[in-house]
Amino acid sequence: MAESLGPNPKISYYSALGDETLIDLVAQMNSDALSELYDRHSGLVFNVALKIVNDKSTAEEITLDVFTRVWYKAGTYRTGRSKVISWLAGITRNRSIDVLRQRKLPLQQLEVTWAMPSSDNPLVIDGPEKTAELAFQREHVRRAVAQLPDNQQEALALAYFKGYSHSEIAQILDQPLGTVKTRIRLAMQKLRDLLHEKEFIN
Amino acid sequence: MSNDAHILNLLPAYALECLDKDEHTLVSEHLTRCPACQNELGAYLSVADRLALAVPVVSPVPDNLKRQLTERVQASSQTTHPPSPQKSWRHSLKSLFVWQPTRGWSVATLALILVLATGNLLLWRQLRRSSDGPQLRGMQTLSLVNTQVDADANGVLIISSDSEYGSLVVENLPLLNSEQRYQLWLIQDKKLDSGAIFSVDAHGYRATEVNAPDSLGNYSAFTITIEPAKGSVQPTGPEVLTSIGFSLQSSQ
Repeated sequence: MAESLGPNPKISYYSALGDETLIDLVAQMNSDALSELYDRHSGLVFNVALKIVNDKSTAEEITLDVFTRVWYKAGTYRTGRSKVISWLAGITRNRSIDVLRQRKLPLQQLEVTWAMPSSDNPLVIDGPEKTAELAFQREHVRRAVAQLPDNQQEALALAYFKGYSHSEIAQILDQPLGTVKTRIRLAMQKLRDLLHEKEFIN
Repeated sequence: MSNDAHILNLLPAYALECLDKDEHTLVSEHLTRCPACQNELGAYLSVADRLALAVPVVSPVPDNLKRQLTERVQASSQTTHPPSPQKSWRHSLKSLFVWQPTRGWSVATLALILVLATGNLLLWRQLRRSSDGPQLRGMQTLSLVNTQVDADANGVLIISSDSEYGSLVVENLPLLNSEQRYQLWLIQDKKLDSGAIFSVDAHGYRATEVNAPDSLGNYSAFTITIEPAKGSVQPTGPEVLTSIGFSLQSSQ
């Protein structure tokens, strides 16, 4: 729900709607609903794309592609599997990694820069989030990732942001394949337990 | 380590799509016949979906991007989505959902659903997700879930109240080549009857009549496999959609 209250002349009908309602409206070709979704989530989409492809103009193109896809494919979103923001992030990641693979770049190391948790109130809205709920979700995921050992965060980042396989990660990190497999498995198991505990997994 | 334990250990990486090719193939094949692993995978897919929330949002989105999106959307709306009289279609179909069909009307109702569903994918999707339902009075609906294809693939069987007639609607199934078709199987104990052979359009969408040698109420499960273009006597290809809790592999 909209977090800004009071006499804000820019509050519109759509800003008070939930993401899933907006997706339903987009599926009915409602461009105002798409506009609201864009306002809410383009920041995350753009930054995920930028994190992966490391190029602003490419990240812009990917952001446009993602929301264009939302326009055409909103009807494919399934309530219950994931929240809308996660669905958007998944589309963004897949599109970004496809672009990376088309470039056929050599394997490259990546500085691990998962966002750090806020030091105090988890409801601090630290970016373009329009809702406290989204800020809350982001903070919980950040805190969960922050609980992973550095080597697990590193392996996870290479898998998630670069789409590298086990073998490729092992080569980049100069670690045994079995070690890399274990780190990723343990990282995901830990995150599953932490996020499930916080009832973010449906 | 047993094979199942080995597969379970690979599921987290499968959700991240970072398995090497041979292991990816191994897990994919296993998932087509293991509901337990499918369920376990779901939890890891949820984790993978949420990882993006941990990305720092530090770079502002360029201002001109929204204008470009607006232009794209407006251009597409003018060419592919003219103002539609869907409201009247929706009203017509919705009236069926509150109408109590007698036996004599079952065939006509199902035929009408087929005609409307065939002609209007968007309407079908709206109805499926509408807050009312679909509440098809006097009819049974059975969901078919995907086993290995596009995560958005799904299907619905609509069966008349007397179980004599049925319609199948699927969406987001992958397009097949010209030598293949999807085939619907109706399962009763270990006996399988063919219910339909069909292809899908570019959206992976198809609505078709179900032809059953027996009353549809006598079948306990339904599944869709990929078969040669003329169909098969028995399933030979992979399962793509199945009634919940069923798999060909475990039934044999």
